[in-house]
Amino acid sequence: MNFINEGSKSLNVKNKKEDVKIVAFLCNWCSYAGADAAGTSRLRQPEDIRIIRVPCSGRINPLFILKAFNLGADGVLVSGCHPNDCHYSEGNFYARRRLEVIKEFLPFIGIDKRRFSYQWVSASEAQKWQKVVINFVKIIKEING
Amino acid sequence: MEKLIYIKKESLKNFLEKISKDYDVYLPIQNKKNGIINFDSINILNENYIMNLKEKTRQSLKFLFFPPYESLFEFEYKKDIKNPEVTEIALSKPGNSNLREKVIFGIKPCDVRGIDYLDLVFNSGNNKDPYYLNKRENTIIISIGCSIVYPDCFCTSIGGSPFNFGNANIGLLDIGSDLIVTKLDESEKIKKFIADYKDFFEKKDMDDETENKINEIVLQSNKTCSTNWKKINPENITAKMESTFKEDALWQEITKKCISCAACTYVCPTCVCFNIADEQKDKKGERYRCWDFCTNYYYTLEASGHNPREKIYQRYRNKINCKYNYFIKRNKNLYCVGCGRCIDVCPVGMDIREIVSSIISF
Amino acid sequence: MVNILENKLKEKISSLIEELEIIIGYSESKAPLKINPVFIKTKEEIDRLIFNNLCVNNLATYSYYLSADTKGKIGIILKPCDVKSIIQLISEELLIKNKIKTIVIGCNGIIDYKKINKAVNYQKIISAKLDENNITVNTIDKSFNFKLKDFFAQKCYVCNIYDNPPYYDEFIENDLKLNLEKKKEYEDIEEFEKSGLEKIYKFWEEEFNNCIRCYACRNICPLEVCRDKCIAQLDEPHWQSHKINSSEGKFFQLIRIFHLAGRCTECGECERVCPANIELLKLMKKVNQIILKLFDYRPGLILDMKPPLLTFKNVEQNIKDEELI
Repeated sequence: MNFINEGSKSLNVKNKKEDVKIVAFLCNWCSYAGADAAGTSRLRQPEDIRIIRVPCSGRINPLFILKAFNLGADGVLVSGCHPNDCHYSEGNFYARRRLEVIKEFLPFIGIDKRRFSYQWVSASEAQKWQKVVINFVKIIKEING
Repeated sequence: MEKLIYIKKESLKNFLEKISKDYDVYLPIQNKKNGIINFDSINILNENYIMNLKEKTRQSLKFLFFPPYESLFEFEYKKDIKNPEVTEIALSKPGNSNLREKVIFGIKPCDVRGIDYLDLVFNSGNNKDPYYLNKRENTIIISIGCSIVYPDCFCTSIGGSPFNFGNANIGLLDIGSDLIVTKLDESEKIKKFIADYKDFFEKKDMDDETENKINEIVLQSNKTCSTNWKKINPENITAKMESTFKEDALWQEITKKCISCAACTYVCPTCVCFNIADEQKDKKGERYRCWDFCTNYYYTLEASGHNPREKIYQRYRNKINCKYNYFIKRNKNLYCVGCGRCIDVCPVGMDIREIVSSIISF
Repeated sequence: MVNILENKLKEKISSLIEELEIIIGYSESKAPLKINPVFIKTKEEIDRLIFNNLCVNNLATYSYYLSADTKGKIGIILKPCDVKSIIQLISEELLIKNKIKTIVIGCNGIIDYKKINKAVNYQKIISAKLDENNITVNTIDKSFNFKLKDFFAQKCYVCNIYDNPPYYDEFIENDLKLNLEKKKEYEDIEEFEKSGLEKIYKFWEEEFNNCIRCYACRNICPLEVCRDKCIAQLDEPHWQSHKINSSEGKFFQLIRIFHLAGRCTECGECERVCPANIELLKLMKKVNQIILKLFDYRPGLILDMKPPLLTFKNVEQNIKDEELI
């Protein structure tokens, strides 16, 4: 069926080692503020991450993550408030369940589990955010080889 | 005495390999892994993909000429830095991919008829579709008659026949050891084709034995096929469709099983509905067309939110009327070729024969 | 033996038909190895009902849309595994309990006709005959005789509710019991996973090359009551392109899978109806395996239980945060 294949993009397109594309979904109240704080305190971070701000980690539909992979992202990072710390009190509890299911499922369609990660970073944890980003980018570059 | 032209079955493989040097050859190829037969290029043949001329393909021939998705053109918004008020749009059409001529081998007569109907839609009068023509032109169609008729075939009921080759360029008949040429186009193209490969087209005098054999096969196939369904008269059926159009209860009753998926539409050789959409990312975009199906809720959904065919029975009624009413009024022919693919793939056992029969007997 | 069961069924239906507006059941089909769903309103039509090993369809598919269109009560003839779909629909408040009468028949296994197709080398089957232990299948030039026990659907080999439906209004016992050598649940999934990422990726790529996005998998699913509001076909928001190709087909399946995560009852209808023979059930089973591992939950067994992804616990026993530091 060569006709059908024309122009089809595929999941986990391998980019070059130096040039990785990582999509990060950050919750407005904790992680986005944390990343902001990391910036204002001049903590150096890799520039391979494209940040998308969402109101709450509970807002993240599994579709967002899969769509990012489908459009050729090398990795997807999700970050929100620590459990019990959610601005909307329970959003990240729902998110935690969903995200874990996705993480477990990805290898089944041939995507490395390590390409997806979810982390809890609060507004004051600029240092943690820096470490998370550095390590995640390192891992993705390793996988891309 | 009449001269008989035939291809020996044992030299068939060589014949196809030989013509694949000069033409792009497409054949019914069966995937051994999942059993599905589809038209595909001869180049993919290997131990997992084998030629199968016996059964119908899952997808009809429209798959080759009117693919499920095709790009119409690409566009790009361009701005000049010196003159920022002006935005230009650059269009790029896909190139003519049809440089080599195509040979499509082993099509059933019902699919040949399907192509005739597609031509009526895409290539008649003022309606010439360049994308369709690009693929359709320069094609040699070699059809093989149906020596085996399956229970879901009903071409004889709607004016076809297992050996009616229609507009096929070459028609073959399988008598076991040989493929007998029973139809040959008069055109120059085919004369040249036959001359080019005259090693494979052997000639002999018609003898009684072969003639009897041919007659028997034709008779047998026609007979089996005609037992699958009664004969449908295009003139009477339109009146019946008109008079039952408003019988909502009847339509509800016969379409209750339907789950409104597209399986029947997408395998149908004559269904041609499509959707055109633009997709844009940043300044670059593409306009493409892809198949659409009338049993789909979104097919008639209007911008206001109103849907004139909200329920499944209304949509299915349109589907049946399209094939057994509207098209007859325009072209005097049923818009169905009787291949029975829709019956084969339906998940819930909808049978178009039963449905039309119950409308006729209403 | 089968006729005794059918007679019991017909008797039961005749006693119920007065109070029910419509009954959904199985009837004979012209196509070999297939049966047709049938909708019964009057006493005369009861004779059309059948029940045998070929009654594969999950009739719960019709329950949601039919209950919206009818005023009275609907009777549905179900196998014990199909009841799970009804339980799930009721739990999610998509179906009103009082509008549905579930008539459950004890099951002694159902035939997977894709397995038979494979056994006859994918030749077209023109007729078939079924008896208690054997099935005779005829293709155009050959006749095959198979033992039934090799051709049951995958789910039958792990079934433990065939005689003991989790929920029913009427139960008709089957004298024939499902008698199969039990297999380990999710055995095939674990086997498949061992082949490694590269191979898995390739496998799905090849499978979805055949996808024509006919949406049969979505529309046949008893739990996907969203077929007329599907995100895959919307223009606004334009989550998915309308293109018909391998990657879009796969993406659509992923949408389906996460929509059904923690809800899918593994009836196998999606895989059965796929005209491209894609192994969709594999994907569904994997998600269910994950749900079972993480939340110790099986969909469709307990009435009024919330699907795990619609609820949460403050402390999750089985979820461990990943350390990136």
